[in-house]
Amino acid sequence: MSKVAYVKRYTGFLTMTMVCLTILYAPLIIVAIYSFNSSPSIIVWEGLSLHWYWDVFFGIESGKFKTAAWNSLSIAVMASLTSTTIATAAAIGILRGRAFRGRNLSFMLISMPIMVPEIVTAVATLIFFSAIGFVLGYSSILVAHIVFCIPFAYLPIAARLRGIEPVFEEAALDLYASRGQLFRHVIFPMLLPGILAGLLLAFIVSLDDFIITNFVKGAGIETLPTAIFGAVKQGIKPNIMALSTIMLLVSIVCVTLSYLLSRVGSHGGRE
Amino acid sequence: MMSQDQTTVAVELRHVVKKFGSFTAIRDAHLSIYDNEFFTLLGPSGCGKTTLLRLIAGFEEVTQGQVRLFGKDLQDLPPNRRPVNTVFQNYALFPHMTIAENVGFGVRMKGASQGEMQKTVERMLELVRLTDHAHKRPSQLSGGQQQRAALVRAIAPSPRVLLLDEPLSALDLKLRQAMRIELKQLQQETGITFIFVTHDQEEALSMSDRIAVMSDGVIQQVGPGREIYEHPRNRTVANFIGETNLLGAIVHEKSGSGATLTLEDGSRVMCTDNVPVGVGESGQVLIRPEKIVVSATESSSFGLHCKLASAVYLGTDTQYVLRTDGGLTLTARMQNVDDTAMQMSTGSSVVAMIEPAAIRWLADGD
Repeated sequence: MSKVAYVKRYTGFLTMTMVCLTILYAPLIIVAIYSFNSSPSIIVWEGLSLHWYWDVFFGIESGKFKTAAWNSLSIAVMASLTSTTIATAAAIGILRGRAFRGRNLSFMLISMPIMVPEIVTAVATLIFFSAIGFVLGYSSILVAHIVFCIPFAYLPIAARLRGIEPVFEEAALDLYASRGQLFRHVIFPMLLPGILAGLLLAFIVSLDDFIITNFVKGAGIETLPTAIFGAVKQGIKPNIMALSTIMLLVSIVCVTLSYLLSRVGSHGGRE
Repeated sequence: MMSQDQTTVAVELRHVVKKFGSFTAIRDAHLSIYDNEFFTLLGPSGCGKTTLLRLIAGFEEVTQGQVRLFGKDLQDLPPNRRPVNTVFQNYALFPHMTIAENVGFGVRMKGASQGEMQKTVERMLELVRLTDHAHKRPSQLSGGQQQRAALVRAIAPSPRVLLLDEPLSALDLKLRQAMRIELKQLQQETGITFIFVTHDQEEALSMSDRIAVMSDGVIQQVGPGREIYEHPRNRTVANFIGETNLLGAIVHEKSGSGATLTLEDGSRVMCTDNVPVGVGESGQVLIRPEKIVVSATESSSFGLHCKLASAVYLGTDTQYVLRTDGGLTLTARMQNVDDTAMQMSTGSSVVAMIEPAAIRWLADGD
């Protein structure tokens, strides 16, 4: 808290903060509030009601949403588990294997999908699937999700692994652990918060993905985001707001957990 | 006190060379460490002592030569198959395990039964008075307690040789001194060969049966502490262990019991050490500061006339810097048994007396 460079002292700091926060969160807050509106209008407030939440689960469109939600959830679970396993292996291989040429390059390659515009990945994936004759549908979505989830799972795992000093592995080997025991009793438990953070991040990225899914899903199958997009095309009804609010809540919970997990043990865990 | 078996060699290094790329960390290390011995590798940081330890543990592979354990070549044997354990510098206790789990880890990995493991853990924790802390995490223990936990974790699987990599460097002075005694006792009780790495000469001298002084990847001298201190083989060893006065000298006269030497400033001193060169030849002598007696009054025939350049009070003793009339600088150290120190003021004339037996001729001139 030095007086010199304390950022709050700059003129306009508060205004700027408020403007940014408003632009970021006002739409989300409005959607959340109006999801409790009893009116079928999306702009006129009539009164508090859980009607649209009931509508999401039991209304005319509920069947469509339920199928889409099941697709989204099952894909997100499988994609996050698979990509996290691959990312864990990659992190250990890259960071703990013998030094090899292109170690930095491999890290860049792994995190590239985060940097590349998603639409480019989407088009490229679609072209690739067509080229190899992969039938579009549930499995094409799953494969695409596994692939683009890997970098999201990799980052927290690699960050965690970098924080674990190699001396613990030496100590385990010195105390007669085999390679397998070393992983099971030392590396895995110490890496676990990172792995869980990666898993949650991959889960939420998969659950929320629209662009890539929309390209590779083929006809007749919907995930929650594409189903919402389809429904919105026929005009926005408040049940979309209710559904969006539910998804927002799930996202917030996952991201918060992921953040908390990535901090476990990094403060006061040792010493 | 201890029955040191001088015939069984625990660890033998045969012309070991270790290179990291173009950098040579160990040059031709040739050394035998005996069973049941407290052996210390002493040297400044970067001298290769830790590398040598890692070669024995198996974390590094030798570039040339052999590391043998009880007569068996360790080449190709990974660390988890060597009956050697390490106490790491920062302990490396597994943070996600309790102290008991940490201590039992090696025994468990070796395939001991649950009951066997528990018995060993209990015995070990008792040995270092940590029984009450068995179910705590390492982070809940003080530095000294963590140190002791790391120590018994390495001892628990009963290794033939225990490697200790500067294990006391993270502790404060009082604790470090207490741990020295504890370590030595532990070594004598367990009968395990200890190979201890340190840059602290006091640590080395107070615990070791033998010391190897290393610098620049070369083992300079191996021997008991007293021998290394009293008869350093060369300048490097003399400079590293303790304070020294290193002076150039020419043999003036030789007799049956020693020689008369001419120092750089022309003054003559008697020396009863073995001087292996002939009259007229030159070399170097070593005089330890505490062997020089400084006195305001001349009372001895082998005194050098000096001016007192400075006197620094250091609590138990006082350090004097003397300039001989011929222009040579000598450092002396005397215990503050009385008020002698206060009676000599800077710039006054004093006499430095050196016993003939305190002057060492350095065998290696380098």
